[in-house]
Amino acid sequence: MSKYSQFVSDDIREDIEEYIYVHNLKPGDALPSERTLCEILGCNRVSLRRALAQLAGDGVIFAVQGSGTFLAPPKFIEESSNFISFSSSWQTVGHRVTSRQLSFLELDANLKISRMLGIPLGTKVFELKRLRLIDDVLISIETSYLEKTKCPTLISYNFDGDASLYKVLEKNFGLHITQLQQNIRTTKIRSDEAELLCVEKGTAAFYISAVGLADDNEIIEHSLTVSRADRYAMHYRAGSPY
Amino acid sequence: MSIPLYEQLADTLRDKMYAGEYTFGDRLPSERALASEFGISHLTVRRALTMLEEEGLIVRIQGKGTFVKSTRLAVNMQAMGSFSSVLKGQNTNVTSKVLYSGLRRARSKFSRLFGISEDSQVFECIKLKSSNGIPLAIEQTAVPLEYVPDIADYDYSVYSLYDVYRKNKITIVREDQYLEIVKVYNPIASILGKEDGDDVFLLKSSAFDSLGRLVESTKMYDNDERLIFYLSGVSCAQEANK
Repeated sequence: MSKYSQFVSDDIREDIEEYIYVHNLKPGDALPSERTLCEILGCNRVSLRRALAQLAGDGVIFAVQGSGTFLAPPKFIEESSNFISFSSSWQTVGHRVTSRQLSFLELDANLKISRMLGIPLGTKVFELKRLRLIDDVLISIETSYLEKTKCPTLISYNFDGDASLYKVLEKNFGLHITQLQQNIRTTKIRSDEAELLCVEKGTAAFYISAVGLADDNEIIEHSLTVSRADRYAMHYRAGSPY
Repeated sequence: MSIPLYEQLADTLRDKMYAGEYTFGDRLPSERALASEFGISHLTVRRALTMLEEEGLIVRIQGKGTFVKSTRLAVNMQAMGSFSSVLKGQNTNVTSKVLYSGLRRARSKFSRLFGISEDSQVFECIKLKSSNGIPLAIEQTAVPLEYVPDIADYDYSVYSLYDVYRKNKITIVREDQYLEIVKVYNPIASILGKEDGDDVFLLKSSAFDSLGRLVESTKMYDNDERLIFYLSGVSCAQEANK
């Protein structure tokens, strides 16, 4: 056997997953104690703990000091194959998306913003910063940049609650974003973001830099989104449809 | 109103890292040099570096300076097929090392997943993908033996599984992909050049053939300091118009 065989022949991990499946455990339900699990699965503590750590690392279970191990809530999975807009793509799968507007400012475009929006340095832009919640769970901090001349009175709108930026852009300014290009990286939640998202500083997160374009490839929006990875994942379907 | 100077500096440095101007292991200019280059105070420089450090992009070593931790290749999530094909067009030299390959019983896990009997055989292969000696990803693939009877006969440091599917007249037409951020532990962590318990991307994908069968299930742990994921989504409405 190769020294890497422990990756695959991870019977204990599979047995724990099987236990969860067979006993139909739901998010928040407790797993049996380590001692009991060892008895049921016929393994030793060291191997059990390694398997539990891997399952926790994958976000399947979580441990609470002193009270045990629990089945984790499923991650919210964003459907990215067919982009609609943040709010509507979640609504189609039955989730409720809301926002808390953190700030809405008028700025002079710095180098980065001007390059992302394809406009000269110093052009007036709006910066809209929002906390995004899915089913009332704090998931993301999203910062959107838009050129002021394209939507001069946008700043008079408020994006608290379930107001959709894309809908307002389309209905009131004739700006229809139909393509979204995203670069997806990992980051760690900074201290200032941690406070807003109510997670610990250093929590793993997605860092998504996106550009929203109209049919004629005109750049309408640039956004930067930080989404906590413990509750968020992305889905993409490549190839032919069903 | 303008963006705080420290954020502008952080943006500028982050851009240079993403653009490849500063790459993995490079030393950034000293705080003093940055302060004089941008005409800002030491305190402002320090604040910008703290932001980048919290994001995990740089590391500051006492007495030695500030070093870049991150530069990345772009993985196109829309491209199907082997790892080298999703990195196409970039100046990379991706090599594969087979860490493990062999057959196992499906057991309940793969029986449920593939819809095969618990006693049937599943081929498993674990590969390390590197570029110029730098580890990029560990790929764990499972394929039911009954779909590709000669699958265990090839050397996967030379062939890709897609080559073998083609030989067996199996055409992969669709891939379902889930992108998460998870923690990895040793030995996977150390092989990827990460610390025990570090965060990495996990791309889970399911490949379906023209008969609609799930042929392959893959888990790929991706070094988040070396790779970014790229996605370009078009709205449903526009897709329909095409």
